[in-house]
This record gives sequence, structure tokens and C-alpha cells, in this order.
Amino acid sequence: MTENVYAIQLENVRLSYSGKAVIDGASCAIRKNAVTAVVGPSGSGKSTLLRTLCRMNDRIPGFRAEGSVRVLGRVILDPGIMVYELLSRVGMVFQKPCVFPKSIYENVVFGLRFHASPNGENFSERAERALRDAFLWDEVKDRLDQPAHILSQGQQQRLAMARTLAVDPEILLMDEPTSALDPKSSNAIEDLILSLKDRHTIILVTHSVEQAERVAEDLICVDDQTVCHKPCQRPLPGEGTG
Amino acid sequence: MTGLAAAISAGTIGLLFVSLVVESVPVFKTEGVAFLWGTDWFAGEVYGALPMIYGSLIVTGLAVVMVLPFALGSAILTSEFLSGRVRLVVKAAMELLAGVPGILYGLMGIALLAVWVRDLFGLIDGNTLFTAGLLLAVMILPTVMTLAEDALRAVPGETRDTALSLGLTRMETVMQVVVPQALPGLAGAVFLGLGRAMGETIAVMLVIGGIDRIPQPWFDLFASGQNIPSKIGREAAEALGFDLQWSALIALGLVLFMMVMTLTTAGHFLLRKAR
Repeated sequence: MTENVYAIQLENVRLSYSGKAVIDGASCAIRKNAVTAVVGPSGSGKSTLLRTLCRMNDRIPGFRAEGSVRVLGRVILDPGIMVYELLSRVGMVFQKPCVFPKSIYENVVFGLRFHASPNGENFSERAERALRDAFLWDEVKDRLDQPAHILSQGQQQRLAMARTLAVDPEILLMDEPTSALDPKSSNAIEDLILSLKDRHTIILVTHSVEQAERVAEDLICVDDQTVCHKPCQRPLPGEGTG
Repeated sequence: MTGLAAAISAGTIGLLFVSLVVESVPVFKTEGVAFLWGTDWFAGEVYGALPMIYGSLIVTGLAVVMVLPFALGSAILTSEFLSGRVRLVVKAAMELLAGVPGILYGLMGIALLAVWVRDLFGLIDGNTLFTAGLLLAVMILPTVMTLAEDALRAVPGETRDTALSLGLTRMETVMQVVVPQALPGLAGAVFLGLGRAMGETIAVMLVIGGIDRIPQPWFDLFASGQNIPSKIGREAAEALGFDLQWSALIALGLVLFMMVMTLTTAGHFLLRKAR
């Protein structure tokens, strides 16, 4: 039952760098197809927590994750897990947009080239769909073969999202995706997050409590090595109201 | 202060270039531009630089072909897969090796390498273009490797994170994202290594064979040969006071200067572009 409701479940999780705990004894669950915001002061471990959900901290020397982290029903801290398979189901968008020195089209299909099945569908269709989902199609449809770095910062961030969406992950992890953007571009990203939540589970790390209140249904507060899960603002799917 | 140092350096290079040009005028007046493609060099009679230019190019080319897989492979391993502490140890060892004097490599070359090459390939003499290329490859390996490693490290961590987050393996990330982005820097590292290889004198002089000829056929790498620094090193002392021979050696130096400057400038340009 819980696996149908929750995309991610943490039980007694401890995250540490060279033995020094960043988060200790964290337990919480994140609902499927909802936007969950992770808030907290700088250095509290928000990004560490987020990156743990897709094992992106693995290559950091001295990093250690203990406890139980279940993502889409699988215990992901198990050393035998195929991280690359996990990352095809869990996508991540970073604070600073990072575009590869390739064309806009090649950027969008970059991840796809490594995940597509041999009889996979047409890349062009997938690219168009991802760009439409990222509200970028109308702005770039006539210049897909131009270098991606000519786009504005806000457009590059939406391109980064389109590249992640092209792989079609079930969970989207976003690490302060609007912190490097102007207000207009930030609003565009917030609209995009709201439009995606029906099809994806979104976890958004943000400094701005206002932004969290605007886009998120659930809040996770990280502070002083602890994680507290604020009560849901709307009923869980399947929960009765009476 | 930095400006002054830069001006002094540029001035020195300028002066060196001018003096090389001035002192090579007599041989160009006598031989004309045929000096560059003449194949015979008999002191007091005729001066042709082609065997030495050929020797320099072939030995340097060989060194690069042999050093590239090892230098790039170890740079990738060190930059992308070794832990911080081990990486620092490897880097320190490579930088130490890069500072070993050429004469020591030369002695190792004549005592070991030339003997191995002779025995392995069944040659009469192990002092060949191939031996010189192999020795140069060993000599420039630390330089190329450390510079290539620097170029790989200059690729931002976010780029790696982005590729990994898209589900690429670490090897795919390195080969598809990191190496392509570091390419100008890697090319710069190779060019600077080439510059060092081309200018190396003493070690090459000891193992190249010292014969002023282009082998027959031209691609016979197991023949003895000559390169520019080796030729200058062998004849400079005896040529002092003999105007035309001295001028011919200076003209060889001018050719080498142009070749090394071109490579080094291209290397620095590419490294700066990478940063």
C-alpha cells in the first residue's frame, strides 16, 4: 500500500562526511505525483539529502549514507544496485544550468542516447515533447541546430530540464533550480514545476519559503542534523475525508 | 613587475630570433633556399638540412604516437578515478620525473634502451630513429601527463554531475563529456610535450646514430639518423671559426626555433582556451 502512495521513504537515515554527521536519524516519506519542497538554512544538508536520493554523492570522498532509503520500492543504498538504472528513473536538475557544448537538439537527446532501447521511438519526437514540456519549444523550434550556449540563463535551465525530461524519469530532483535566475525566468520554472507534477514526483530544494509555499504541497525542513516533515496540506491519495 | 619580466622575456626571444636570422644569412646566400631541402651535408662543401629536419619530425612524431595512449590513459585514470591523496602522490612523482635532466635519460637510453631495441629487433646497431623516438616518449610522458591531467581537472564538476545524473556511467561520462570538453587543453599538453621533444639534444644525440641521411625507404625507422639538436650538438664546437659551417648550424637552429615556437605557441593558446 505505502509503495503505491509514496515514491520515497527514508528510515533512520544518517548522512556524514568523514564521520561528521550532516543529517542524523532522518525518517520521512515523499508522496508520488506531488511537489515536495525541502527547505532549511545554508549548509543544513538539503542538497546532500537530495543527492543521496539518486546516489550522486557516491564519488565524494568520505561520504557515507546509512539507514534505509527506498526509491520507487527499491532499497537504493544496497551496494549491488545499478545506479545507472536508478538514474533513468530519477532525474536531477542542478542549481546552475549546465549545457554541453553541442547544439540545442543534441543537448536534449544527450541522455536519451544512453538509455534508449534498440527499437526505441524517434529521438526527434521525444526531443520535441521534452522541449514542449519545458515550455521551450516555441522559443527554439527554428534553431535546434544552433549551439545551446547562445540561450539565456533561464532558457538554459529549461533546456537542462528538457534534457532530464527526455529520459522520462518518474522522479525529478531539483536543487535550487531558480537561484541563479532572474524573477521572470524563476516564474517560468515555477509554472513548469506545477505543470509537471501530475506526471512526475518532484522534490525541490529551495531557500525561499515563499517559493515552497507557492509550488509545493508538502514541506520537509532540514536543520541541525534533523529532518522534519510538515503535515500535508492536502489529503493523501486514497485517504478518506470523513 | 610582471610586465617588466614579460617585456624582458619577449625582448630576449626577439633578440635571439634576430641574431639567428643575421647569423644564418651567409649560408642562405651560398645555398639559397635549397639549404632547406638539400640532402647532403659535407662541411666546407655543401650544406643541406633536410635529413636533420626529417629526423626531427620523425623522432618527434614517433614520440607523440608512443606517448599519447599512456599519457592520456594515465591522465584520465589519475584525474577521474584515483582518490585525492593517491592523485597527489602520482602528480608529485610525475612532476619529479619531468625535472630529471636529459643526460640521465640519455645514459639510460644508451645503456639499456638501445641494447633492448637491438636485441628485440635483431639489428646490428640499436642507435636508431625508433630508439630516439622511444626515449623521447619516455622523457615527455610526465610533462604531457601532468598537463593533460590539469586540462581534465579544469572541466567543471557540474559537467560531470550533469552527465552522471542523466544515467551515464563514469566511463561514459569521461569519454563522452569530460574528454571532449578538455580537448583544447589536451591538445595543448601534447603540443607543449612536442616542443620539449623537438628541442631535446643530449639524450637524442646519444641514441639516434648520428648519420646525416634520410633512410631508404624513408619510413625505415630502424635506421640511424640525425635530428637538428643532435647535429648542432655534435658539430658546434668544431664549427666555431668556420664561417659557413657555423652559419649552417645557426640556420638549423633557426629552423628548430620556428618549429618549437609554433608548437609552443599553439600549445599555450589551446591551454588558455581550455581554461
